[in-house]
Amino acid sequence: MKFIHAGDIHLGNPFIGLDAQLPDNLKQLVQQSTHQAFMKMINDALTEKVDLLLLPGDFYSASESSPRLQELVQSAFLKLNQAGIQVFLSLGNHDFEANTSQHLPWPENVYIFDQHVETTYHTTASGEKIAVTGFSYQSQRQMTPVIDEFPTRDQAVDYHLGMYHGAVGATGEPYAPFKVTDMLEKGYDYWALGHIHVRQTLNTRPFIGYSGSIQGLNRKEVGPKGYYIVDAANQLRPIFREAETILWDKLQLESVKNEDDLQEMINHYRTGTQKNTFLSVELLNVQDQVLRARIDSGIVLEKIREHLPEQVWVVRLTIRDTELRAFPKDTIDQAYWLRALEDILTEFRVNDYLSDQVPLVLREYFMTHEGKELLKQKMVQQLNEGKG
Amino acid sequence: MSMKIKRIQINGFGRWSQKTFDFVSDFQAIVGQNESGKSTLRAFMVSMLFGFPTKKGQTNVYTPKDGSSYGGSMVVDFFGQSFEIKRVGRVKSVLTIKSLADDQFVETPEKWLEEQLAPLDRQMFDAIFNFSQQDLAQISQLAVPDLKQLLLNIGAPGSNYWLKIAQQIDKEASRQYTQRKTGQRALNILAKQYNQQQVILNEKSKDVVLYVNRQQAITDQQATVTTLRNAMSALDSELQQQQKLIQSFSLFEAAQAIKSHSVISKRIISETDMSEFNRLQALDNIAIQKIAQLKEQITDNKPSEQKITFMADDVNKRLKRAQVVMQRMTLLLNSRNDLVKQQRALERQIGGQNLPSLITVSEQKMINYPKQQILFLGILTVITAVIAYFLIKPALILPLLIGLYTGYKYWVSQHAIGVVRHRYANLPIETIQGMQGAIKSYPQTKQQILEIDKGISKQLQQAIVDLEPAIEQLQLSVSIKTIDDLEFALIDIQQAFNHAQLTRSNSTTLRVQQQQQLLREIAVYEKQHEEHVHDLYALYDKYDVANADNFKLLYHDQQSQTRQQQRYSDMMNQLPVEQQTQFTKIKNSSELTIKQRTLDSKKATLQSDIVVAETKLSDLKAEQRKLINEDQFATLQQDFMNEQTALIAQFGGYLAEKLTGKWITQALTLASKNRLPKMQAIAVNLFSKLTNERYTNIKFSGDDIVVVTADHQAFNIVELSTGTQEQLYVALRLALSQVIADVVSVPILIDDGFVNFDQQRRDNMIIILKSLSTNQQVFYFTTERYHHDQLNVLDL
Repeated sequence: MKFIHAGDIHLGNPFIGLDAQLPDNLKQLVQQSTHQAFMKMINDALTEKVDLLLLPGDFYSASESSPRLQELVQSAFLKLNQAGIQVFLSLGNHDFEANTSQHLPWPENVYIFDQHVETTYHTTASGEKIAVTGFSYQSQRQMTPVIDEFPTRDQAVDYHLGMYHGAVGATGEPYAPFKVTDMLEKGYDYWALGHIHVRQTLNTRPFIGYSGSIQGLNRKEVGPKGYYIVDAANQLRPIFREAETILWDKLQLESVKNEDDLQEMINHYRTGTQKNTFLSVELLNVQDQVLRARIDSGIVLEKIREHLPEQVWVVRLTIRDTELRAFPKDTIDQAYWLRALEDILTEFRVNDYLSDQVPLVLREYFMTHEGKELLKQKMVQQLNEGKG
Repeated sequence: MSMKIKRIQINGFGRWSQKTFDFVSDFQAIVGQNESGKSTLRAFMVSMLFGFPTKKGQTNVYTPKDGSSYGGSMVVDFFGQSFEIKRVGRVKSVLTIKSLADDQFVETPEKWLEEQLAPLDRQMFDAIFNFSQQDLAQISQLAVPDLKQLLLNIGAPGSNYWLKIAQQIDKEASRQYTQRKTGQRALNILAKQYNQQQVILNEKSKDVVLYVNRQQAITDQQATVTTLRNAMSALDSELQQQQKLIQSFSLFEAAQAIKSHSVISKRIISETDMSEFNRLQALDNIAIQKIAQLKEQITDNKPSEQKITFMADDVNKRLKRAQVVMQRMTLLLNSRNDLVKQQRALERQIGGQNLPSLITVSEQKMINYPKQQILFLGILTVITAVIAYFLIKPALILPLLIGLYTGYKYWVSQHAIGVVRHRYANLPIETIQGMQGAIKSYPQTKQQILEIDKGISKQLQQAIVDLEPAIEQLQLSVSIKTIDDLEFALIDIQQAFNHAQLTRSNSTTLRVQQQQQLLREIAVYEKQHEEHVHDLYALYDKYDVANADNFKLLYHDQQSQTRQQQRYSDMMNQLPVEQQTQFTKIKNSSELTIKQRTLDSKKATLQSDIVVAETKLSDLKAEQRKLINEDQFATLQQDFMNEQTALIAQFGGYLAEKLTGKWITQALTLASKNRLPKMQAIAVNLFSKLTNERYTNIKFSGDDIVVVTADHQAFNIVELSTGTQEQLYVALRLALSQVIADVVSVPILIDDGFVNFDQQRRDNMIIILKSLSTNQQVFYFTTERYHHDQLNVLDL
């Protein structure tokens, strides 16, 4: 018995954090990236002759779909159908509407899990009996610990596999909170988890873990991405298969003196893969005021983009100050500035500043930790300018 | 830093010129009426520390009224050390600082002074240490937040600057965005555009509905096409069966036709009889043939004799005719020979020459002329000569002339004869004359000969033609060209003819004998023939036919009928039994053809239906392919996401600006609050003293300042009287200067600040200032001096 575990494929997911300067060929590649990674996995499933394909949620990135996407998915699953590969799909917080919104009929080898936890049985070509238990999200949130509804291992089957889209947490948290012990108590042979985009092993035997996203979707999802191939002959220990089309990476540079220095450092950057790499460059503690100003205005990034190493695209170039800089002329204690900053960001409610005319996504973003960090950075810059 | 002003020396500043003030006490009251120069003095002090006011708008720059040189100096103690600060010149002000201890000038006076005063600048100095009634009056008019702001200003040194920055940043932010939904600022527009794009994207995502529905339509259409195609193949096989049926039916019909035509005769000619018939016929044919042959031989013999006889006559006739012609030609030949002889004789006379032309009439005249004429003229000459000679001698000329003429005539005649003779080979003229007749007829004779030749040759040809058959008959090989040939040929023909006559009479006898033999043979064959005929008729009778043809016809019919029967059974064997019974019910083939035609038209309809359905299907597929190929959703989505990224950056900028404003205020609030408890305590103490302990507390409640009375009644600032507001303000200011004294301690300049104070409170104020001056120099500018007894007063 052999299967693929691929959580968070996020088909059709646009990349966050790119700008209009991105060259057309890369833009094309970005649009195709999740598709290509998905097709790579499908082809692998065919050549490896797996029995099952487990997709524990966030298979699609959103409820919106497109004809091309529909065609891609249907033709891929039909191929698997011809090869006798069964697909188990439980829907997550991103694609919970995939089965209710308009879509092409699923080929007969595709099993979609219901809202309620259910167990489905499958017999492989070699005669092994397999039970798969899972559930699908019905909205973006799944506050209850759905794990409680999972039955204990069916002793009549050779393998019992669990599919679970959620995160470790306590009741009331939004993504089907569970504890690893809950899962261990069920006695299953493998838990295919989805939702967390970083590859993670929560338990080794039986395996409980996330395969991570199949393609990095933003600058935070760095490094190789892909899916797990799991073989009973290998005691159901997952083996990672890289599938991403575009590799996200980040480069932190300290003590950059000037622009030539920076250019030099970026030119020396190597990913060690042949893949197109989207690189976020972060400079720590830049002292030179002119350089700071040129970086802030985006001039340096534009210059760097003109002389990039092959297959590398610098997505952004930022300065991170590890501490507030001191200002000789300032008569106010640094401690007041820092405390005031904390106070302001804690009290910050985006709706006090932006009307509902501003898209909700944006308003929500500024309430996230990342958004607040961005604001903090910009505020410090702003103040520094004021101080200057 | 602790600073004290010891002395002021004014060269020229406003109403003051060449004036020196020495300050010995730490609490210096400066008393003067309005317009006495109190404010100018205060301005001079500030100017010495922070520079002269620059001429901007309505600012008073204190130009000296009496034309003295602008500026002056001030002796200041910094931590007990005395320095003279000197500023001269209004436009190009020059600063010099001299240490009075060692008379040394400070090298970089601006910097030095700034450092001594730090962190104070003019603004901060004015905000904390320098105030007048104007500042207090403003307070009563200020709204609460402004008052609070001002208090905040005082609370943290330098905050005014920061507040301005905050204001500026906030203003800048507000230029980008407003919370009003109708706002047209850059970010409002961008947000709107983004929302519009969202709508477009949502609209675009409906393509998938179209796609899915169309995919369903394609599946349905495919099913329709399949159904139609199945119907088509069913119809095709039905049609094929129908065609087979039609073929079978025509076979059936043909078989039936054969069946209906076959009438089998009662007696069937047996094969033995048939071969007997054939044998007899063959034998009889031989007999008949033989008879005919023999009879022919007989007839052949007879006509050959007749022919020979006939030919002999013909040859004979032709021979006779040729002989007659021969004789006639001999005669003609003879006369021709005579004519030729005459001609030859003439030609010989002329001498083989060409025949000369005839003697012309004129030639004849000249030839004949002389004989009589000459004779006559000769005689005439003689006569005349004689006469003349004798009668008239001169007349002798006449006979001479005549004689000459005669001689001439004679010569002419002789010459003509010569010419003619020359032409005629010099024959004598008489002969020539005699020949004239013959010469004249020569051409006619020649013609005659030619005609005779023509006649002979014509007759010869006729004779040859006439003789040709005879020569052929006699099988002679003769070639006739001339009359002589003919003559010899005639002899040969005669001989051959005679020989042929003889041979013929011998062969006639032989032929008679042969004919007898032939007749006998004929008789034998005829007998055989009779026997055959008899036998044949016996056969005819047996099958009731009249003759051989009928017999053969009968046999032939029988043969073809057998064949037909064979064909019929062959045909019928091809048809299955049930079909045979089915066919018997069908009247004619048209029933089947009609059905086929119906099927054909059905097929045509179906075919066009299929074409329509397939066209529709391929249209649908093409549309679907187009939808996929033109699927811009991913691009739009990515564009949208990029825009989102850009918006985050821009709104981030906006929010950061807004928040930075808040941050600054917050930091200032925090900074002032830090000194606040101390300042609060001092302020409470001062305020309480000032108000005769009517108010016993000042509370900072959130952003508000509340004062509390001894009986615990709380008042907001606006609820206080103008005087009390000013007292609160002064209390706070003084408290502030006290609370930051650890950082900076400079003289306090109060310009007539207490006009709204009642006597009691003003007295309290003076007491307070006096006690403050132990730590900090105080300059109190006032118009009144009634209670200044205890003070060091400078009268202006």
